[in-house]
Amino acid sequence: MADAGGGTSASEPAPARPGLERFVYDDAIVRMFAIATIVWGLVATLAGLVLALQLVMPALNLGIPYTTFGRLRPLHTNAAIFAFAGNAIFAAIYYSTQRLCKARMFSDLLSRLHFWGWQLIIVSAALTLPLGITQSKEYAELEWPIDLAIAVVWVGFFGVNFFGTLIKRRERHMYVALWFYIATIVTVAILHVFNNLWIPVGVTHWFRTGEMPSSELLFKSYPVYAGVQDAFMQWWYGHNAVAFFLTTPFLGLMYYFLPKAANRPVFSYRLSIVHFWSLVFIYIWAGPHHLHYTALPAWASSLGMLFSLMLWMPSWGGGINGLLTLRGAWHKVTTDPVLKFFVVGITFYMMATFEGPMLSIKTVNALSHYTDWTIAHVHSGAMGWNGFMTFGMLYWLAPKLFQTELWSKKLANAHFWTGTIAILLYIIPIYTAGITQGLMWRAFDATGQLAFPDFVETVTQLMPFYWMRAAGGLLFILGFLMLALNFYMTWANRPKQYEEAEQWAPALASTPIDDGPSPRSRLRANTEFGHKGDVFFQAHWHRRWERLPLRFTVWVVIAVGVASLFEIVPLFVIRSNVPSIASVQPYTPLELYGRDIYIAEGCYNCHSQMIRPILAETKRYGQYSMPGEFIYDRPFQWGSRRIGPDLARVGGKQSHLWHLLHFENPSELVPQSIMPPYPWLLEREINFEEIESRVRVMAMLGVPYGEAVVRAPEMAREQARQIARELVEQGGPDGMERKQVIALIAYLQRLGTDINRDAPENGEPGSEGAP
Amino acid sequence: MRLSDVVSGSGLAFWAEAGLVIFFVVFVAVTIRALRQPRESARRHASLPLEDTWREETR
Repeated sequence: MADAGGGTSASEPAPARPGLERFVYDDAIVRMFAIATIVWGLVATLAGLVLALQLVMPALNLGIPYTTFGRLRPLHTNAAIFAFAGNAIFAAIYYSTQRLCKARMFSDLLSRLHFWGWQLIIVSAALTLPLGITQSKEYAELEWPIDLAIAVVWVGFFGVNFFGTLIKRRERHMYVALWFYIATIVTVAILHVFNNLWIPVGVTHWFRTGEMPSSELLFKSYPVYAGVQDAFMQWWYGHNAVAFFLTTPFLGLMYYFLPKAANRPVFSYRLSIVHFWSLVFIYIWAGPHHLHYTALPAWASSLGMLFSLMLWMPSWGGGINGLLTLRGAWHKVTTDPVLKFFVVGITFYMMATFEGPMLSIKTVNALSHYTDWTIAHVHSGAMGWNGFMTFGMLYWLAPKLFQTELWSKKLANAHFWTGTIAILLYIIPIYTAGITQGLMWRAFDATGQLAFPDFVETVTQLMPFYWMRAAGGLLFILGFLMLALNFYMTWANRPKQYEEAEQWAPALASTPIDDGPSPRSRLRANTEFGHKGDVFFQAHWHRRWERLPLRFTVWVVIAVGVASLFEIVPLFVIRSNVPSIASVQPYTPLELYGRDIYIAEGCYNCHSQMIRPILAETKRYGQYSMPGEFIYDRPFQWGSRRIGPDLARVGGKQSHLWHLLHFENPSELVPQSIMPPYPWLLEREINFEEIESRVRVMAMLGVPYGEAVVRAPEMAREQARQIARELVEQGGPDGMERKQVIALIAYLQRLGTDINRDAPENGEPGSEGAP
Repeated sequence: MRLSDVVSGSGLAFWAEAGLVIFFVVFVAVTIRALRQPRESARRHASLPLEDTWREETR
């Protein structure tokens, strides 16, 4: 193998070398992950293209429930993050870890279980999300059985295999790329577990009744958090999923593959140490910037903003460290497509990490939040940083993995230029669309009224930008196809049998520890404390950590844990202080069922339920949202984007009939609407009997349902009959009382209305028997 | 009354300052460690990705 240096073929018997151990790298697993990266990357980008086109041609879901924007968008985001980027980082980690540790992976079996387990999770996601099986938490939509599988595969297979390899390594120093991988593995595990604490409704139903629940109920769960806490946990997770799934492993990739491709060591190893600790420590604090001007406490929001701004330092330090690695090798960039991808990828990293903190500044966020600006920001990071770093790595790996020349360097260069133009064609119109949207929402005329009171006016303005974005997406896929072809043709030219180069290295125990002598205090006249301080600041301890994986990991966990606890604990401590609104009551059983339909249809992908205390918003939507209004919201539905208007106070604004006709065909009522029709809601029936199980789980979580726990089906039927009667009185169709649309109408008509009701006599929110 | 008002009155504002202090201490310690690393050791660590195969002379 060309890259194997002095290795000899493993197929030939080699004479034993005293004091050295023989081993062979497992490149088959890297090949598997690399191929999966390309396959799932194409799926993710194709899904993205379909979604982009649906925004300009809403009928493109072809009237099929499984292909609406609300159901496909999570499929696109999950495929891009966990399938494309996920497989890419696994390929990078499996290739580089073995070489940095001078050891084969700890267990071939665990490597294969990891690979196939992860692909199974991706397939499960691709099947369940279009079916409306979702938790509705962004990037954490997957329901509880898949969550369990993720925990097993990530920790049990991947984590054990990785740390096992560190333990049996033959290189004493753990290179900085390995630190980034450690941070990724432990932090993603923590984030995943704490954001996915739920009670499965179907399982409780089965235990209680002994009957198998419907598939709809089987996969349904309610989170243990509600309202403000749920939002906070979700965005602690959401932000750090970006940090520890899309940033730290890719920085590890950069620190390994960029020096390889440039054949230069990293510019400054010292800077990489500061980069690592600063990034790991600061990133975890920044999550609340996703919730500015919401019902989140102001202190948490400000803290998130401050730490986001501090992120400029390590992010740019790391980016500069990457680019300066090319000192003396810039001439190679003009000819080598791998370096071209890396240079542009790092540049996009620096641009995205400049923009992210900027968007966290409250005044900027007031304009950008809920608009397409965020979408442009995300895509410049995903396509530019994650995409281009992955492409660079794959082009560098292809000849090594397939032990032959890259099929076409020209095609790789063509991919580079196509991809670069595609990203610009995608993000520039969407930046423009986002800023246009934000400015139109807040524009007032000379009389002090909203200049664009009809929300749909702000949507139609964006159509030209949406078309350009779709063109950019299409071009990006064309580039991706060039990579797929190049990779396939390189594979086709592989030798009949792969050479497995034999490696030799001494066992770790036999190599000397080169930490140098233990430091002594250099102070003459001082206290014992002073001597200890002087020894501490000589930082000999850190050099020891760098070769002790367990201790290093513990400190990473402490860095992440301390920051998380400092943010999360106060919010949970004040739980009892969330101002109670006496008139806020739990959803009725029928409204709860309707809410679950709202979640399954993915309405949160286009509609927020959070009116910010900003004049333009209160003017358009009504009284700003208050934390006490969400105490029964499991999960919260604040959303992060407004393709359609906010729905926090939609209750009572339209008749039942308007809602029914709007679901049947939105463009009949609002000709310019880009919302797809939902005719199946008028046909599918409510499963009244299973509503009780939903109510019971809510009651287990502390929602004061009173007698509704045992009377749920009966109460739901009663309310459905009432709404169906009113529908007929408004001129609507007869016989709708069993249809799902009635439950959804019940939910929508309730939204935001509690603050205008009279409080129950005892003045407590959610008093007994309230619904 | 808004939630932010309640929290402002609950005396938790110092958590933000405490967070900054913790970060500052960690940052200073790590920077000192990085700057004190011997040049030769930093050079060898930085070149680890370039050595897929173990070489005796680098020990």
